[in-house]
Amino acid sequence: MRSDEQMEAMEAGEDSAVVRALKTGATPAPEFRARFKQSFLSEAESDARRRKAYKLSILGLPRFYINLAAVGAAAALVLTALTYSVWFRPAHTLKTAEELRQSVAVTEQADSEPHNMLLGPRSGARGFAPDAGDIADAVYVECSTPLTDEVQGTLELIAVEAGGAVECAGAGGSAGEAQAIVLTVPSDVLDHVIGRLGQVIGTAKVSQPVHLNSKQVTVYITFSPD
Amino acid sequence: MYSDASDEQLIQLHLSGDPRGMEAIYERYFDRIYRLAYSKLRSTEDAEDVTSAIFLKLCRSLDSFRGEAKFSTWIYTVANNAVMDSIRRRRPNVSLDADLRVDGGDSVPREIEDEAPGPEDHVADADFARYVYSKLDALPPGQRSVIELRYFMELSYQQIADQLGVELGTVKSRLNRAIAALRSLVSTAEEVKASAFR
Repeated sequence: MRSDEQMEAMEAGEDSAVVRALKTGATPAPEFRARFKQSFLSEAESDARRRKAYKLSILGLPRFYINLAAVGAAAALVLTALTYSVWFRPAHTLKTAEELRQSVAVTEQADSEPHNMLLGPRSGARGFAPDAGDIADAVYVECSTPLTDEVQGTLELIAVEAGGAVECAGAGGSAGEAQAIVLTVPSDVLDHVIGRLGQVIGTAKVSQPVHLNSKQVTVYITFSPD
Repeated sequence: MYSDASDEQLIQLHLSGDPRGMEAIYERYFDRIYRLAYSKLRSTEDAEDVTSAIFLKLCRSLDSFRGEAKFSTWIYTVANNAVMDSIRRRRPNVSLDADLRVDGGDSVPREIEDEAPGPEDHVADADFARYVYSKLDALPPGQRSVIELRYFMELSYQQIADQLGVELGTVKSRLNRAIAALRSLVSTAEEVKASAFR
């Protein structure tokens, strides 16, 4: 590579006339240069004024606020895009006739059931016991014998032995009016309690326990003498 | 006043509303742009017209100068485009190779008079310079670009290398070849003329 010194020597040597001609050969006439300078400076001043005015104000507002508004608008757009699903949820659609009929049927069925019964598996509960609220493991027992005071006393005894409690679910609370008895016993003695019920009152049908993993089990006994 | 300021600083000065920035740009570049225009147009009037047009549009064109390239590079490109536009506008549609039609329908070969000054006109430096300028067209485009950037636009070797996208050594060798070629062209013409006088 040629050094700068070599290049300078070339420009100053035998080629100097050519180089000098190139450098200085074409020079604008001084009159033209001076005359045009006035026109150019006038144009430059006008342009500079326009730019200064633009910088200071748009619609009477300082540029800073214009930029601030632009940044704010951009940020709002980004936020709107990010939270679109929250602010613009689709509206609920009208139910079809079939869905409406099913919904009414479910509501009517729920209304027809005794409201003071403890919730069982038909409540539609989901989840595990500690978080299942008032929902406990449940066993449904159907008896073919009538509910008498003697039977109720025996059931209370079984409940006490198991460390649980008994409750009449009938209209009046007494054995004569009750149609159902609810025992609440610890889950670890459930098998023992079911066995004792079979011995004492002759159970006709025992449903499989619905496990919600709770410590207490609700034994729902219905009496339907034939 | 702003002789030490860079081109970009002067542009910023103008953009901030101070016209003195553009005045300094004018002082710095007017002669360079004129030389570039004259080297291609080889007419004082045309060179003045094009130079005026370039500078009058310069302020408004600054919006297209984004600072990605150096200002000297940008204005060189702007000036080159303006000169080429001017050449296209003034170029006649008649081919210079076509024969001339004379009265009676006969045609005669066109004899084109070279208006460039010959070696015999080298009485003054200005004439010699114009003669050298007239020989620039004989150079390959790569060598001519280096001449323009170095002696008309007054760029450094490194700036030329950056502008053309070539190595620094390539710039120097091209410039050396270009000067040698110009010297050879001038010498040959002088010898031809001298032999004609013998």
